[in-house]
Amino acid sequence: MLELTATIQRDELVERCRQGDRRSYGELYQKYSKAMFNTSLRIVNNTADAEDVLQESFVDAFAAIDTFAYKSTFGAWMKRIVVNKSINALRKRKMQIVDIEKTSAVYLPEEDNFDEEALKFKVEEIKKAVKDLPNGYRTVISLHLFEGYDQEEIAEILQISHATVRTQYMRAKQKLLLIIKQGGLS
Amino acid sequence: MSSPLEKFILENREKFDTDTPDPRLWEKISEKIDPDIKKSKPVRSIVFRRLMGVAATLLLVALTSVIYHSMHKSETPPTLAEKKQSRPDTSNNLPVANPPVDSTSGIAQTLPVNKKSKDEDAQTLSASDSSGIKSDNGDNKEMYYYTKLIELKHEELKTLVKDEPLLYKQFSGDVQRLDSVYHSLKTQLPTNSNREQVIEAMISNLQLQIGLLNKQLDIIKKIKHIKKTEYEKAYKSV
Repeated sequence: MLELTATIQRDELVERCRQGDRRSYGELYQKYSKAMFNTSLRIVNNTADAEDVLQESFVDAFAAIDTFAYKSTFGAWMKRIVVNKSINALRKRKMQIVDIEKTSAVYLPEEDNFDEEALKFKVEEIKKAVKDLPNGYRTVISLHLFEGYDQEEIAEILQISHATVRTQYMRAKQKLLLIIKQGGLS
Repeated sequence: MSSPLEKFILENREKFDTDTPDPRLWEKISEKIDPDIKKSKPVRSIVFRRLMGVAATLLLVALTSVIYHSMHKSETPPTLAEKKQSRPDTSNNLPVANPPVDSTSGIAQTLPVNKKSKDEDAQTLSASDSSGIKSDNGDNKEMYYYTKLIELKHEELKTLVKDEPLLYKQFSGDVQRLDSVYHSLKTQLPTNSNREQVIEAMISNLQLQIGLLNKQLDIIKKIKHIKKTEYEKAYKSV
């Protein structure tokens, strides 16, 4: 991890923002807004909320840009802000992430494995299936499958145990595959 | 990350980011971050404020002296007489020895066409004064010269409208306030018994207007310079 820190290069755009260059703020937004918006949208599952999250995240990030210390890339730093705000937005909507069992209508035996190899994946189908997942599953799937956080990081972000993350992820993935399969059959 | 689903998503990760936020979102964000940007740009704001401060002080001085002139008409004849006496001596400079005179001669230097007419004016002025007749006519010419000069300065200032509309509004507001004093003096002229006094006040008002316009144009020049250097700095690093 330490070695990785050393390899992160100075970001010219970020440095110019720190010097107060107005144009660079706009460029930074242009560069990251789309990816950040999609990250938020996958978690909050609602365009208006995702836009609110995006706005708040950029305002906060720009205000705190002096505190960005190159422990990660600017994109990763920014993404963490977006993820945290998205989860807060979900929680505000009073949908508890830990209440996964209650929202999960389909019984999923943990040992029941789909023949994944037989499924042909399409981007649009996966996107739609992710949208149909209950909030808790969708969050875990988003953070792991799409944002690349490991289980330890997800446990920290969601404030739940590693074991919970692991089981939630397994169930979430099963459910996702089931939706994809059902979508493909119908 | 080994199952087919995980592999597929990893390989096609970019294709999943297809949604775009509302394009107006940036406007909202930039409005909110504006104060922070200003905070991190102390150099510009301090310079700008100082320049605005100079303009404000100048306006204050100008207004006070105009009000002083118009209110203490009866008390000033001695100074007026002094000024009149000194006129023929200053054949090449402006006739009234007020602080703005320096700035007006400054304009004249930057505008050679005007310098010529100024000299002519000064000559006719001194000629008419030394002969002791038609001093009113000389004052009229003097006023005509100043108003022409003010018009030119106004034109120059108008180029500001496009780049700094807010600043232009403030600046033209300041000049207009002086100008309204000038016009109220002008309406007093036919009825006021102390005609010379009013004319003196009118002339010094015009001089103040020129001085103010000069300062304003200076400020604009400085702002443009700051902008230019900032722009160059930003693009050097690209």
